[in-house]
Amino acid sequence: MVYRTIKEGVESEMPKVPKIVRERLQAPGAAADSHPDPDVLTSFAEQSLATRERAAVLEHLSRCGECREVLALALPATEPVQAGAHRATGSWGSWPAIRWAFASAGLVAIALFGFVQYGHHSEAVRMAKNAPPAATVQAGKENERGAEGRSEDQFKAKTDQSSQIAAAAPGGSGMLDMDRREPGSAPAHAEVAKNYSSPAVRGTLAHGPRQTGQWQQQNSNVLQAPNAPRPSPETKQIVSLPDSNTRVPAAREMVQVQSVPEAGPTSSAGAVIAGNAPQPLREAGSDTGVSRAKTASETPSALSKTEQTSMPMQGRSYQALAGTVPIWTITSGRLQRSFDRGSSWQDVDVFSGGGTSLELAVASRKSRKDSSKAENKEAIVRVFRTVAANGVDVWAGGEGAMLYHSQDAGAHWTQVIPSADTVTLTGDVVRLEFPDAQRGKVSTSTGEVWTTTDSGQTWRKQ
Amino acid sequence: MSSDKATPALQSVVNDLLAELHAKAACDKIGITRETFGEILLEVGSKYAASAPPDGVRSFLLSLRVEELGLARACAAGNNAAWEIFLTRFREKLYLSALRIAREDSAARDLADTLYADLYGTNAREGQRVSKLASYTGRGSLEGWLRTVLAQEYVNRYRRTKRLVSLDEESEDGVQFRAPESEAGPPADSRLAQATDEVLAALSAEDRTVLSGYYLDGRTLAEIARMLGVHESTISRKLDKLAKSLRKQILTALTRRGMSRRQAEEALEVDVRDLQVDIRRSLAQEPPASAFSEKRVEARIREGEG
Repeated sequence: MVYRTIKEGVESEMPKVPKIVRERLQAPGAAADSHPDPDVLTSFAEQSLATRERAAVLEHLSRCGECREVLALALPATEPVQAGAHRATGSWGSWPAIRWAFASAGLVAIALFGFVQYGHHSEAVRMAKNAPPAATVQAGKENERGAEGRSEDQFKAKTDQSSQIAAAAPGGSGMLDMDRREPGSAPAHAEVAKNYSSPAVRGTLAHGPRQTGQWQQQNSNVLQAPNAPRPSPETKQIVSLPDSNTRVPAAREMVQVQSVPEAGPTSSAGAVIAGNAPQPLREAGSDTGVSRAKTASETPSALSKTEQTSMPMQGRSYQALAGTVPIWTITSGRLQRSFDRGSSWQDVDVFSGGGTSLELAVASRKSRKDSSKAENKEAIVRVFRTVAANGVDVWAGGEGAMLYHSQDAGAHWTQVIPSADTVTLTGDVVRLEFPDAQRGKVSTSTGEVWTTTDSGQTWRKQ
Repeated sequence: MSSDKATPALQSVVNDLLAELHAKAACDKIGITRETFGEILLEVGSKYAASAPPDGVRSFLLSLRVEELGLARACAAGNNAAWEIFLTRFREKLYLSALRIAREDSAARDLADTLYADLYGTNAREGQRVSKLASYTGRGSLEGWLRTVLAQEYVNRYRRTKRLVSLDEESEDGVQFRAPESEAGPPADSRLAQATDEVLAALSAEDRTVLSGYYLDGRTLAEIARMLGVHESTISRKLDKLAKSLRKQILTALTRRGMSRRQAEEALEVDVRDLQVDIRRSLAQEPPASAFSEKRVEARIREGEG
């Protein structure tokens, strides 16, 4: 057409046609009749023309490159899936980026696996001979220290840990508050200490839930740590690194952690984390001088309680993946979030039930291919216009009375249709005000204002 | 208004539906009374009835986006409350659409500003502003209409710019030294063109649109699918089938015109080489049609001046 040259790659995708076909398609007199009105073109694009009129417009379009151009330019902006081929968005959430991210994550995971195994072995040997310096504190203190938020590179921390432990004298003056541990749970805290440098992580991981999505849980605990219930006073927690600092994982590390192979289930709470290590180091665990949580924190009741409080739902763990609450924006009608203060943004797929492209990549690349025509169309035409976040509680609204709510920082979404007394919200949602998780106000393009005081359970139209 | 052109049948249908549609439009607060709205419906209905079976007018009127129609006409009439609503709903969308079309921030702002001027009606006729919004008839969504009008403005602008540039650069391109154009078009080519025309004419309009969109415009399958409101895989299958059958059909048409199979194949091959230059030229060719709705605006201005 006039504004685009024929791309070299186009022909490689589809069979070629003789160039005479192109020439004759471009035959003169193509646009002899008048162009359809914008109304008619719009109706054509919106599939609302009667058959007869549609045929007439198609006939014109087949001969008028300008109207085809206008029609293409006037397509709605939301084309994250279908029209992506033309756009180099460059966003972190784009599929090529995700593919590379997972490829990188796989490599890192393999490297991490080897590193951990090597560390296991060498540390076990060293630990048998050496004892670390004073290292024991209460779990509560650990949590407090964790909340200070000092950063430190994970690998450096591990190195420090190993070196310090190695340098310590054997039987080191009771600095290690070691309890006699049960065989099944013994390796857990050793693994925690080995894999995570953050005191906060260690402090809470000992009480962490036992689920398969450990890559989420571990990080979740980082975030949950300040709010998590304090361990009972008699609970003792591990500290293996006197100089270890709190470390909040960055978003990219989610992928790394996610890819760590999972080991079989273990019996203690702490073993949830040990499950990340390929080989729980039972003897080493008792020799490392690493104290651990025991007794109450490892009882099933305490465990389940911790699970319920610090990990109320799997989705909530997503908040903690990046160690921070994401920030949100709307770009060209697409809902996006960033876990790194806006350095990179990822599209959030609200309509497929939740999750980001990251989760989607894990879950359903296939399902995207199999998605029905209707779903595709829906995804195309839905345009977000506003978003409001209050911690992990997120509301997003847009065209066509669209309103979605997520209580887990966007991992899972629920469509909300404000209605009261047979009246339902109409128009586009143009403004959302949610000062807290309970109270909120939704304004629409039609001038309606809806309020809720119970997190969207009931609504009142003003 | 063209209400005086309305047929009695249309008048009757409008009278029947006026109360319902006016209530649905909820445009009393923005200055569109029932009477005014009736005139708008008559105008829109007349325009439709001129080219459609009369029995479809009722369903046509019922399918209108009357709320947006009322808003647009209230804005065109200069109602401030209507403009507030309009800007709240469409300001950001309009700019985003312009950005998507122009792909560059300053050009997008310029494009959007131009449209705003047209929408507001900076051109006056007989002391009255002529707003582009007065031409919105509620057939499609107002937002879609705005995007379409933006796209038309962009295309018109591109044509104007291109025309100027081409004059400037003509001598630099060495147009004066170009070989005479009569070299194209040996007899074999005319038969080839005829055969191709015959084959293309036998295709449906949708098939030709798909072919043109893909092979002329360079659109992606996804874009064509969205333009036509079908699934991408449908376009893919259709194109595959068309591309495979076109060559065979053209060869068959050429043999019907007296060529042997070999001659026909050679004609196609030769033409591929010959057309490489012509294709570029024809792609850059100005279509004879006038610009989009700007012609109407210009006509109005001329009428005003006259």
